Amino acid sequence: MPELSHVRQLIETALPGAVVRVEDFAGGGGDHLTAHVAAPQFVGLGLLARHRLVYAAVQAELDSGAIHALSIQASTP
Amino acid sequence: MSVITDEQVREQILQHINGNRVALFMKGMPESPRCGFSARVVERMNALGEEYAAVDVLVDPRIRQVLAAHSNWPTIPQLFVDGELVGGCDIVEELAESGELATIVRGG
Repeated sequence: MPELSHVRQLIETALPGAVVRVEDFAGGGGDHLTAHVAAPQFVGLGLLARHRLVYAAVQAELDSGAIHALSIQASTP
Repeated sequence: MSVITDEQVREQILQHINGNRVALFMKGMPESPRCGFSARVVERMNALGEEYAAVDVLVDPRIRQVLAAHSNWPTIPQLFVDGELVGGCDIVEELAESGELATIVRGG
């Protein structure tokens, strides 16, 4: 299972200046995560574009199956 | 048993996306979803009471690969309206909460 801080760093690296909080999905086995991301890059972007940016940041973990499911809340700061 | 080629899988997916006003790619079927996220989207769509075509991606693993590449979206479920990706579970729920989902699905 991925370290929550590792996932958070991946998103912060991909979205400099973003405020990121990653939680284990209630009852998840550690591979169902929720990411709350408030990023300046989201300004003017629709939900799809925002979520794509977050997915791109953790694509390797999704492909490897380290993250089974990632729920995203994407807002602007 | 006829073997469906990769190209045929791709064509079937595009046919579902473009041949239906509303198409939901999910794990399982609406009456028996096999994933919590898929079940939540089914609930939101049933609450709208509008028709939609459902496709079970678990039938053939190639469906997910073709879909991920086509829509540049890595997860399932995926909701399409008028051939365009609306989103996965998070976005569908956010749109349902704001009332936008009804507008999108009903083509307001």
